[in-house]
Amino acid sequence: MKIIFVCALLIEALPIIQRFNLKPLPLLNRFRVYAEDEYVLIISGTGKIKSAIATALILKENHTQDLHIINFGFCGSLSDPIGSVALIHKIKDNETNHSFYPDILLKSKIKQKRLVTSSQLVLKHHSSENLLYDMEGSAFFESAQFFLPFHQIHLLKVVSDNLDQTKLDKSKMQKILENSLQEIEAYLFALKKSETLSSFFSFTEEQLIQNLFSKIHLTVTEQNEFKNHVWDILVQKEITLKEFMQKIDLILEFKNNQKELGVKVKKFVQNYRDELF
Amino acid sequence: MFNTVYVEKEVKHSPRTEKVLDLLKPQNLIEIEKYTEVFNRHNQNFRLQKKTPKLILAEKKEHFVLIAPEKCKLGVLESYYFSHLYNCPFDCEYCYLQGNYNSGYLVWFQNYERFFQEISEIVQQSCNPTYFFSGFDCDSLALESVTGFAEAFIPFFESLPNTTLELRTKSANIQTLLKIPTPQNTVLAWTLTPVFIQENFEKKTATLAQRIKVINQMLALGWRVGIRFEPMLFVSNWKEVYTDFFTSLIQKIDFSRLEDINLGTLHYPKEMYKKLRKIIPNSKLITGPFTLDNCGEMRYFQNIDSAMKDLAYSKLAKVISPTKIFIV
Repeated sequence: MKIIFVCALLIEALPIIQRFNLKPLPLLNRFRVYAEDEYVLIISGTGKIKSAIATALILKENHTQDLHIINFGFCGSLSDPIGSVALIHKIKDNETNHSFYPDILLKSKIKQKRLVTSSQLVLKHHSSENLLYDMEGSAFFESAQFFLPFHQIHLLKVVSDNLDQTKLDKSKMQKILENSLQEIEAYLFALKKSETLSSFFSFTEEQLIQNLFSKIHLTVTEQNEFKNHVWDILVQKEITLKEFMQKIDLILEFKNNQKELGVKVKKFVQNYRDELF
Repeated sequence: MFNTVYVEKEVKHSPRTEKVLDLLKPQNLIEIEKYTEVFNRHNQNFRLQKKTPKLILAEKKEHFVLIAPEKCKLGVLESYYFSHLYNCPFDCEYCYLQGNYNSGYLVWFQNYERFFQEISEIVQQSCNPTYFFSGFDCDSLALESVTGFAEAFIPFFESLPNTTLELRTKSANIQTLLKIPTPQNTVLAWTLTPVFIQENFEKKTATLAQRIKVINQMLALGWRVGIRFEPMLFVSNWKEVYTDFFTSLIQKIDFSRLEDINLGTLHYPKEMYKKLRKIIPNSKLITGPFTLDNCGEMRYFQNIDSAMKDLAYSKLAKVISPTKIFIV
């Protein structure tokens, strides 16, 4: 499993970089990227457009099936205590009024909250109880959903201020984030333990099949049918593709041309599958 | 039961919604504009969502009642279906709802009164008997303690002439029914499958023994009861499994008292089947002996399909009038 963090500012990224010992990579366009083992982190800069671009770029670079992306950083809140951590279940974009809904499937102790993303700083008298405010969330989510299923997109926010424009010094901000790390790590632990569903042929199996297709002639429709039938056989017989391919290799030993081999292989697989039942 | 509930803004303060929110007390109540913005979006994982069920409270705006597909009718010309719920809390491996919806979450439509209105109009305008199925897109009784569906709809159907409501279920939830005077216009239809199938492929449903028990209980109270042997599933030892099943069932239920039965094997529309193969690739049921039939549906190989139906028919026709057996 790969986990990507998108943070707006270096100060938000630092606790993650330090905790997981992430190393700097060459710039991705203009964005700073850090990585180590299964973790990747990109610093997007402040605001919706930068966040959307950074999210799209990093996902394009790192796309695998078993991947989760997390927007981690500060937010403001009228009443939530400074330092409290929230998992976001609804994001409203203040400018477009569009709402987005992360699909939270993990069991976590982190409290779930609503987030409002705004291009401008939200002040106390414009805010509502029970809402969190940031400047990236909606764009991060909207961008990530082009690449990933909803349940693989997460927003974890830490309250840094009560919308009163008091400037926190850097060391205090870092302390707040460091204190939140325990909850974040518990979330990551649950994430890594979460179930990933089995899919069709793996990358290596797909290569094995493509290698076979290079030796025999089958139309695209016949190739799809072949793959479906082989899959049925593997599931029903509980054997691996490699084991089954050994049977096909015997057919390939005949010195036929590609078209004749295609007919033979197709017929063999079809009969083998039908005779299972 | 549901830690997270989505609620449409428009129904948030309806009495039915307020009552259920008071009952469920969800940790997370998320306000939405329309249920479709959560339920219909692509790129959701039906299988994973099934494991953390969430409820969506919504208002149905259109298509309250639909004409039932020809093959699903049980001898009544004018048959319809309607759905107060989309999806089901049970988790049957072969369930076609997985291929029908993008989401595994449950949508519950709150505006029963609009359903009443639409159903009344259809019944009043019809010169023929009418039949309404309620369990095509959900299980009619699985969530009765929350939805109060049967409690509301059975008395309503009693007020209508020449019509029947069918509640189809794999549950044993009859507590509400026991409080209602025995109706004339409602058929309770239980789907029954062999123990092996129920235990392996129908997670969270009532056991076969529980279903048989409540069938007999409701028959004894004079309710109209039907049994649905649909779908019959292909497993490697299906002949033995289904022979034992029917033999034992015939001894436990008085079939002559049943309203009707239907039987049919597992089948899917072609596109739905394709989708299911992606959702549950490792299912032995879905990778079974399917082939495309002349009507564009994926069905078991002809010889298997016929043999399964023949077995069921030969056993059941001995204990119930053939006019009461419908083959899908």
